[in-house]
Amino acid sequence: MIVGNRLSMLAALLTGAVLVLGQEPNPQLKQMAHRAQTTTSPTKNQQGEGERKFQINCGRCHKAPEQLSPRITGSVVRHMRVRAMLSQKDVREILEYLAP
Amino acid sequence: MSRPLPPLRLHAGIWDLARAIILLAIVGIGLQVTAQDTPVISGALGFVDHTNGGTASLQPVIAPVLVVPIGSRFLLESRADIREVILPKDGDSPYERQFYPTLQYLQLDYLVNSKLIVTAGRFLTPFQTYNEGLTPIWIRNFPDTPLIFPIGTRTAGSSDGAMMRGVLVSKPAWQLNYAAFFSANSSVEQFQAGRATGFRTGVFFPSKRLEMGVSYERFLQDRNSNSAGTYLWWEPWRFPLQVRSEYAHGPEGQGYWIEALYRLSQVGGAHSWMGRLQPGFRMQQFFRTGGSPGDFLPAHDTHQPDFGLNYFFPYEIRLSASYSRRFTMPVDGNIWNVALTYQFVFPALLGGRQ
Repeated sequence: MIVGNRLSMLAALLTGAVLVLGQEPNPQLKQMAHRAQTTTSPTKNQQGEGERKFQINCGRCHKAPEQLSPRITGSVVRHMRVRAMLSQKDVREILEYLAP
Repeated sequence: MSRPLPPLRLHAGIWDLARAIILLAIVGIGLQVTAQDTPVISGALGFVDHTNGGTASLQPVIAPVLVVPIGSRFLLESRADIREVILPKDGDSPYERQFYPTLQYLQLDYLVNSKLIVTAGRFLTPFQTYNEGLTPIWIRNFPDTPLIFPIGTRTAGSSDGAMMRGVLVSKPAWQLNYAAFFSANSSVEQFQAGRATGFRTGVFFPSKRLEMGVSYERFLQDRNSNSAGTYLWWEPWRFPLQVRSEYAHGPEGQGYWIEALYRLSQVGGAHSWMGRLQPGFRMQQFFRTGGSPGDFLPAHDTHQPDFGLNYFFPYEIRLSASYSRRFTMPVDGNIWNVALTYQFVFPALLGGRQ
């Protein structure tokens, strides 16, 4: 009985996810997500220093959020400064990457 | 119904500390909210379907994170894990519900400079890397924590006291980071911790995205004991590969885990249906040499391969599935997990100065 309920709850969650995912992310979000998920050689010409710093530090545990309000980028990066022990210079560069 | 008074002065001290942190945060918010420093509510909603040896459970989870900058040098952070475990039960009711709210950290950080950050309050014990880096349900690669996770973290994973951390040496080719802490004993609900001290230090090579380090903890309560460990992380630039491993030794036993995950983003791009897949494998072993019941480690020597598969949907939704085969006494068993998580992050205050 519990298996049936588990399956129905999971199915409901998946259905909800599919409905949400039925919408195509807007191009800006796709571009940001692409920047965050593409892992390539860290050359300054191809990527900004901020993105490189993000991939070196924050990106080791998680990818960049697909959408981040400019109002909270400072708070988020300060949180990462503590977690990933970023320098003030890293903080400035990552801020420019997340909120150009 | 009257509650017994706290038997130790320490209990009152912890509550005073918590009240002071909250008061400081409220004052700080009122004093300064700059354009990019609006407080943040982040975290994840999750739903875990866990089956261990034929016993199934459902676990709806919410793991909120609160981040409040205060001035230019302080930061208040907090994270909780609130979950309900729904188990089958014999008798009239087909289910048994158990509620587990856990305060994982409530800390105030003082950012002195890049070499030193001082933290006070309740924080994640900086032993090894998993506890601080990979415990959030929206980050961990496998729904289950490693077998050796309780070594050095004392089951709760949190400490009450003070911590210093930072990057001692920062060169273009390498960095030396550290974290050192002291924790007081506390049996206060939601602030439970053991009296302990310890440190973690690591060398990180940014150009290789390679880090290795060591951890040590001295447990200073009841029976004094030492726990030590070492870890290695490697995430090459050229491939979306994650290799992480830890080895830990404590009075209860010793063991290791090593995991490797490969995101198939090189097949059709990160947003193709194949590119959103991330298969992974983790191997872990634990060898018991002592300890006592209730240490949350396997009762016997255990060997466990884990096979995992993550699928990254847009909008921060992730579906994870894993299968593990546990070889241990008295019987071997299978462990199945299916987890769905949705990560969110948004301002904690409406409006705000721009």
